Amino acid sequence: MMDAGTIAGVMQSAQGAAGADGFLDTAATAAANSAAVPFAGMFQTMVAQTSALDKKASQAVTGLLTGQGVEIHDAMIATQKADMAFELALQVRNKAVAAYQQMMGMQF
Amino acid sequence: MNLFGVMDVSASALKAERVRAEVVASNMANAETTRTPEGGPYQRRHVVFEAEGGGSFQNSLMSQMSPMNQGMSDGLGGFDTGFGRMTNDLSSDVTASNGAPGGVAVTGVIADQSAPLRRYDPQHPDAGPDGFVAYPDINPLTEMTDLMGATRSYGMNASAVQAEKNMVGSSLDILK
Amino acid sequence: MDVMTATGDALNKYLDLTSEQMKLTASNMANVDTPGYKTEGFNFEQQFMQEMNGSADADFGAGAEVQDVDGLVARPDGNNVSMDREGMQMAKSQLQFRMGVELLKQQFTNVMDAIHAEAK
Repeated sequence: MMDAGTIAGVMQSAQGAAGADGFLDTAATAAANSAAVPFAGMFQTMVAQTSALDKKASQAVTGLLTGQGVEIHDAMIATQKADMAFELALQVRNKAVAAYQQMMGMQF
Repeated sequence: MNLFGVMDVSASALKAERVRAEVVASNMANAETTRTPEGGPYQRRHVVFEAEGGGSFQNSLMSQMSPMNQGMSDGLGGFDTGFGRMTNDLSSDVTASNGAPGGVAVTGVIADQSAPLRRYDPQHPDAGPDGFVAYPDINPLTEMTDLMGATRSYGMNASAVQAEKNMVGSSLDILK
Repeated sequence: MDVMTATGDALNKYLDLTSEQMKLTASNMANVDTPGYKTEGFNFEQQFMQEMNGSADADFGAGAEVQDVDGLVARPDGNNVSMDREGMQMAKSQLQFRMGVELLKQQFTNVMDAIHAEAK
């Protein structure tokens, strides 16, 4: 079964590809460090955080629209962050499903 | 008040300068008016400007800054629990900044109290018993200078509106 | 899970400060003819460094202070707003904002590329 170490490996190679600092590195380290945490738990955390970011983004946009003084660039950045978090969760899910299917296809 | 609000500030300036130009036009048009409904010659008018919301700009700036400081103190990009970072991340951005920073308002159009110009013309229908007619003391050069100042300020604030529009347009690019 | 890079955070603060500067400049410009009005400003670089170091005051203290700008000559009606200074400041803020947005976009592009990169 996919363990946290493999996830870390996937993420680190992706991170190496673009050199994004601080971002995937921290996630990968955390995943590697908490090898006892099952993948399901980690994924659940990601989904929860993604939906929280999403809520913040819609709060920001609502604040912007109702003229409550939210800066435009702040609302934009919030929306972008929510998008990125969602994309990340989506990609992780895709990889996990692909790996699962690959393993299911193995003949013993 | 976000960047849309800044356009209100510049718009208030445009409005005020336009009133000033109108008053100048009125003064110049009535430079020879000897008869008004209130009696007596036309009195030169001038506008009084006042800064709006002055001083509260400090408060609005600081209320914007201190939530940012909150976000800073949680550490940049650190992955402690994630939640702590996120709850502070935007909670401030959605709260309003209070107080409208300084636009300008026209608080009044005041009639000049200076003495009218008196010219001797006994044939004039508005001549007084001594034969003098009271004319408004309006110097066209003063009025023209004032008008030029109003025009220049108007132009400055109009280009300020352009700059603000530009900035809003740039921030839309973030999502592209 | 933090989707924002450190540089992205810094740029966010930069954009915030630049738009505050813009608001202040617009306010000064609007009051160019108001008698007795004094130009207001704040030290952008100093404020930004404070924000970066996390040492800016969290409470309403000497932190993000808007002060009367020194070195300006007052006209007879007490107003000391210089149109040239404000005009230049406005152009500068506009360009700074544009620059901040472009750099921020780059940060986002980097992260998105990392997310979409194929695992080797």
